[in-house]
Amino acid sequence: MTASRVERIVSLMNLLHDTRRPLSAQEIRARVPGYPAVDASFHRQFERDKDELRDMGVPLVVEPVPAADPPLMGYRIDRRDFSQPAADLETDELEALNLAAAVVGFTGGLGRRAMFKLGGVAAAVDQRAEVADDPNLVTVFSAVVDRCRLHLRYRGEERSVDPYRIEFARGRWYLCGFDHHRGAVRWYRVGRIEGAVRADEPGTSDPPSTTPEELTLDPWALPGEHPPVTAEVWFDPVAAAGVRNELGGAEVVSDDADGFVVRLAVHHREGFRSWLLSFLDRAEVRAPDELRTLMAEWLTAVVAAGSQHAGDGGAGGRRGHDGDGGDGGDGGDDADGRR
Amino acid sequence: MSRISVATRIQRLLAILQWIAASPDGVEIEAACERFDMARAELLGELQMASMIGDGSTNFDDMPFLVIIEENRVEVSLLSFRQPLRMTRAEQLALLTAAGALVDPAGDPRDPLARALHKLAAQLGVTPGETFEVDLDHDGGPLARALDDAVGARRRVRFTYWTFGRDAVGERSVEPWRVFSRDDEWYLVGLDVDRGGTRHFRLDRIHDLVVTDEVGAAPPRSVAASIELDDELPTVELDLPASASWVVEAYPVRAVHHEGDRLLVTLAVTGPSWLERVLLRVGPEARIVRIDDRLGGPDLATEAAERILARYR
Repeated sequence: MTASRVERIVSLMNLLHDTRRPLSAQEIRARVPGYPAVDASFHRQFERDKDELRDMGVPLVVEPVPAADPPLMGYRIDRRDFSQPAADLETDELEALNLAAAVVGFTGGLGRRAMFKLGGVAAAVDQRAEVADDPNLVTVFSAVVDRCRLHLRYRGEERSVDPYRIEFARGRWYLCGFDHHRGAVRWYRVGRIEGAVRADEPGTSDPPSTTPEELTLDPWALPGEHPPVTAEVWFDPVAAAGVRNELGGAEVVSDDADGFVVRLAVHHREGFRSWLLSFLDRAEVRAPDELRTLMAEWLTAVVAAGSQHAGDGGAGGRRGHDGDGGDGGDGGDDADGRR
Repeated sequence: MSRISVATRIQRLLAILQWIAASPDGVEIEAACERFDMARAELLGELQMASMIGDGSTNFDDMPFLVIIEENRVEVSLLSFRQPLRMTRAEQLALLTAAGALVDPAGDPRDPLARALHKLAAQLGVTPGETFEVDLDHDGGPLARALDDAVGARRRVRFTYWTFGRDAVGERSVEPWRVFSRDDEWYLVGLDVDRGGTRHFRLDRIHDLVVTDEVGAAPPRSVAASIELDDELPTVELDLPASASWVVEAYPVRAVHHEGDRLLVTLAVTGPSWLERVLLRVGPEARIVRIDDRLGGPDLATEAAERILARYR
């Protein structure tokens, strides 16, 4: 079944590549073997094949068939755009790139596919890591490359953004750019963009005038409303293994059988609290008192809410005194720092 | 190669044909197999398919390639598709990402991969480290390397594991099959000897690893580098404030309903401790609407809060 689809698409590609005038769907159906006889099935298959061609990078042109009456749309491939100039890679560069594309995969095996276009060599290694695609990622990337202004919806607001940079960090893609509505440089998590991004023509965005601020992902390090404080945090030995890695650069106070104690500069208190709670009672903020109080008050409110829900049978709303949802990302910055 | 998409198969076919056609006298079939990492039968199957395309047509133009297969050699003439297809933006991004993940910015710029990255980026006009950056731990550190060695040598391993969902700590004996990374977390998949089944372990919850001398059975032929949630997991329905919309993005949500400024969310939960974390992070405004008995009762969050509060009194 797949074999016939491969054959059919190659035949289709060949036909549309050789033709000088656009061919109608019916002409294509007559010339390309393997399409179903039933009209509805043919149209469905033909649509899928066209999508496949576009996805592979085939420059498919759709234009009216000349002198057709009634008017009819036809298809052909733009030959000038079909190939790319031979990639200027040396053999060792090609091999290194091939290996990289095998080790670090991309959703849909795109890296391997791209390597075949560069001449394809064998790399019999297992994939180690995979970078996830996102429906908006290619548009965002193209906009960075082509300097297109982007229009997107983020946290319920429409934004116009001059894209500066994309970065993959902690398993996610982020976009940095100048937000025209806010008049400031902002970071966005690509996966959080609501709906489809729209890009203007190439050359519609301005390059950055200064180096943009680095991406901050640690929830306690996000910009906060209060001056930063230094927190001393204890983790029990079980949690310590992972934390030791995560907090590679933090100042270690002690690391022994009693646990792991570090100092952190806390900028965003709610982000800090939320992060620390993910360790349950395997972590404790030891100092300062201000942060201990923050934790205790939050937990006391949870206990109080619990008894109230029990008392009123779970009906009726109760506002937490803190009002914050506990997510570090809601503290003002556009990027968020949740684990 | 296991599963391969139609598009990738077509690109591979064109690459094979273009490579063979570059030698006017053809090539040894073995050489083509080696270059494209394919078994002889698979390669011949693809070549035979290619030779059939346009074969039945009276129009010579319908035939893009002439493929002549002899016993040990194959010869190709290209009537069409002499050049590879142009690369799409998505493919360029995939290659830049792979190279960007492996190239150390402070490393030797003469390294072949660094040169390849530089050339790809230059062609696109992007500057690695400025307009484009990939920060990916592609190695996993000493623990991943030790486990990788154990996979290679089929050695059984023992370690202490922190089961996050139940907040339980225990000893595991595992025949390791594969080490991989997903969404920036490293995992080991293997046979849990005591439990007699396949299990996934997060590397940051493994400690005190011992690689034993015991040799395990051969692993399955292909081990997927993926994490899938068990369909049988217990679920919980939560009533959350709108400010907790992050829960929907961060966790495997089975259903979401918006009711005014509240969110009704059904979550699949791996264990009670996992749910305690969600509830405590959302805070006093989170409420349990319905909970599977296996996870505990409606007082789950209260009890967890009391336990942690004990540290602050």
